[in-house]
Amino acid sequence: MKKFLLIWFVVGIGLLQSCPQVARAQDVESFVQDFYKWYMKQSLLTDDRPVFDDAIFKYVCKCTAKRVRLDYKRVISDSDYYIKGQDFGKELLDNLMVGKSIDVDDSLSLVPVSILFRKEYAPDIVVYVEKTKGRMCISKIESSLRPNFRAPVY
Amino acid sequence: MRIRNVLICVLTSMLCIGIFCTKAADAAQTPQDFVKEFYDWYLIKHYELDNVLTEEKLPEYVDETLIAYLKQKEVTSLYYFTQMGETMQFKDCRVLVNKILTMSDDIYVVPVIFKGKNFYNVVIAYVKKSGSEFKIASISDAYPY
Repeated sequence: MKKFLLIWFVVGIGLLQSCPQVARAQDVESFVQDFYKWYMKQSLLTDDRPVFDDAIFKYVCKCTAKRVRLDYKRVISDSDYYIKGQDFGKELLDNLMVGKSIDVDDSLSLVPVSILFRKEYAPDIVVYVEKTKGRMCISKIESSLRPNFRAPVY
Repeated sequence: MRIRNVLICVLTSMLCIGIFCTKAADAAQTPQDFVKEFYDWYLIKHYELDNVLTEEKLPEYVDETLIAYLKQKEVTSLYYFTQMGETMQFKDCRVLVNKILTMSDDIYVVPVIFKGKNFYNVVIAYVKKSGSEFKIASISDAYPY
């Protein structure tokens, strides 16, 4: 009986230790999912990207959102920075899938995202999420299919 | 007697599968192993050579398209593979590679941490798998866009 109780005690402690990690990882993924749902719903409602909507600051770091706005003003790219594509439709929202995130360190997580016109999980978008003082914000979004040929920016 | 022989055969086969499959799995290189091996090699060459892009071993690690791009790119004060300028800090630092993301088209996203005394830097390596080979397709910094 004592052995049985001891085993349950050890298992219980193990579960208690793993729970906060799972909850935190889930939070980052939900945060990214919420952002994309908001972004795509707004795009469908207004028939335009909500890049200049100040509500974007709820999800995207200020410096990042502002730089993306400048890129749009200067017409730097044809494709949308956040969804990494030109075309948009309700199917993308319906097929949105967010994969399991990884922590790079205490202040940065990476989240894989799949946004396709077909119902399939094939992530090619990497979302960088910064965590500072308990707050999260998207600091960068990259396509895993296109190399980083950016010049350094100061 | 016959059942006993069959049982011995089954158990021996299982033992062999266990031993050889484990060895095969151990032999297969992971994206983390590959990136760690690359940076262990690169950080030595980085300080030895004037131009690592002409090093003949580089195409074993880095995609040809990326090498061609870097060769024709105008010279900047930033080194592509470290995403940092001239510094001796990489010389004595540890290269840490932990969890990775698996993306579509056999691409892996591998965060790399360089840790030294009073030094900390992170780059994100995008690694493409073709057949059994890995190649670095891109390197990003971890700073905001």
